Amino acid sequence: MSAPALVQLLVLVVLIGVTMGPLGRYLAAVYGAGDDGRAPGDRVFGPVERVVYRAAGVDPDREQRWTAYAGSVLAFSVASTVGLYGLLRLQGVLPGNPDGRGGVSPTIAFNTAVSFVTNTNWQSYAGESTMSHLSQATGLTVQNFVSAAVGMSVAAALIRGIARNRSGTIGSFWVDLVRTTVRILLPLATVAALFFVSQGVIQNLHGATPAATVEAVVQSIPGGPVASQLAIKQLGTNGGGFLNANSAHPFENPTPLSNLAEIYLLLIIPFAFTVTYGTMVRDRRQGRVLLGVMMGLWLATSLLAGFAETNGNPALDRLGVDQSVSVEQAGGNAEGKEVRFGPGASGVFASSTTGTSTGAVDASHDSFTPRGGMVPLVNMMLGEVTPGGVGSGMVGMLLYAILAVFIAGLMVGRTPEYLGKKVQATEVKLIMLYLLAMPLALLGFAAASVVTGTATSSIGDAGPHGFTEVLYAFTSAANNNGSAFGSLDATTDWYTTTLGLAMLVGRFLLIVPALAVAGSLARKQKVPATAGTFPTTSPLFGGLLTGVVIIVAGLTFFPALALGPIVEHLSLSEVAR
Amino acid sequence: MRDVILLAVIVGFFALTALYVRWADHLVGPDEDDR
Repeated sequence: MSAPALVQLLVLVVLIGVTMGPLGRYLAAVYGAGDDGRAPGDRVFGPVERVVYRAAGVDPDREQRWTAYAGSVLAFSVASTVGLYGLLRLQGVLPGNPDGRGGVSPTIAFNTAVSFVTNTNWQSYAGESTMSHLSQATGLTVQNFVSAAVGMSVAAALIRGIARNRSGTIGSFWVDLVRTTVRILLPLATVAALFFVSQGVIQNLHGATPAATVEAVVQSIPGGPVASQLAIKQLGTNGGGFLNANSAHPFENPTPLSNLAEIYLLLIIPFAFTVTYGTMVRDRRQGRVLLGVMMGLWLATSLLAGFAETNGNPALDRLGVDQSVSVEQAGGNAEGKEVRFGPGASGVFASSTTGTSTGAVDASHDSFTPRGGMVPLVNMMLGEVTPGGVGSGMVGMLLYAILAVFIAGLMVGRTPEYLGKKVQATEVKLIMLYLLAMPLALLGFAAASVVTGTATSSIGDAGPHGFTEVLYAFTSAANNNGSAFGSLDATTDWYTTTLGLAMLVGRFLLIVPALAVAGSLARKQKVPATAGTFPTTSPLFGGLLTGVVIIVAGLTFFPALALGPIVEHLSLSEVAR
Repeated sequence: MRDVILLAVIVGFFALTALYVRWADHLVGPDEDDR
């Protein structure tokens, strides 16, 4: 890995380390609120929120049981999906359409509506040639905010479930949703959008501008409110680009500094949530252990991807191609990379965007080496907990932590406890439901796609790489990531509908058991720690938790990985010999 | 016609997920106050 890429990684670690503390404590204050019900920013944001509550007929002082909380999540999400579907279908007759885009086709509208409501942002369309500005700004960008807020709200509810003692409620979804949007995401996204404008990201309401090139070909230069969507796209770990090339496009990621800021933004809230957790459960060491596991896995995967791409393609070595990093060339595996960023930084971006549920890309993952391309795939298969999407990463890691405590309890023959709450059959059953839903959708649809004629005809490459394209698509959808391996034509009816269903399963069939665990734990009485309590603040627990995360994913997905990137790497090495 | 089918898929999925919530609540069991 080149020195600039390593320095960038170091700068990222320092930036995150310096800022996650204040942000995490602010989040805790917003979600935890004091005994008097006050939260930071009441004077500024309170009047705005009260208008929203009045308009929606919500009593902000009324907390919900877990079932009511889950019901509110589902009601809000079904209304969002149907509303966005309608907007996309009707955009051709609505204003805010300077380029005269027609209505989006039914299956693409279905796929896109589901994709943005589930925080996936898988895009079966090219943004600049499909969507009107109205659809982008009031449909997709709004969902970027609220879908992120839904994930963060669920995480806050689960933390409350762990922190509270004999409580029948886990908070109010409507209050969490509004506060997350108004007090956290909107202010941060505004600052980020202004920064991106300063770097050269475009922000206007123009249509496309035709320009004649030196070859006398007319080229269409896109316009639109890119910076405002980019900010929340990264901050909310959404990932859906305004432009088809996403963060590889110079209008959406013009400089190395904007590239660094984009990676920072997609990581900061997930990492800050560990501080939020430690603050809300009043034991910061608990948060630090989760931070250590998340940070360790993220650094390991970032270095793996960075080194794999910097080392280049072994098949090209045999041909005598110079792939070394030097002052004259970025070096490494250059295919599908922006020279501005280079292979090392592209590897870090790829690892970060898939370790979170973002899915934005600044390079073509399809063009990565098999080893480098396996990193994003594995990151998603881990359940995106390195550090995961906003809220969803914390939920996943907390459920893994409870599972790790349960396994430790089995090993020593004691009733497992997590933060004074006894972990019993109910919680373990719910965690199993949580863990099984994603692989079921992923492997089920991927298996169907490689034996169905209409699906296999969309695969762009033969052999293991073609299999990886299909595997990657469903891994991305079922984990609500949204990044894509190129070459697969995912615009067919088969893929738009099955990927849409995988996104729905990967989002809501995980949220329900997570909230059920919150409800189950919230009503339990805390028991004091004894000499037999397994300490969950020790490095030993961090190691156990890391092992559980890796082993669960390994047992589930290793056979599929062996058929795809692993065999492709071995065959590439054979060619190189 | 396609619009109707796709909207039915969306609403149907969320209706089934609402039933899933009820089933998961059965798994969690009643609150102590309800017993």
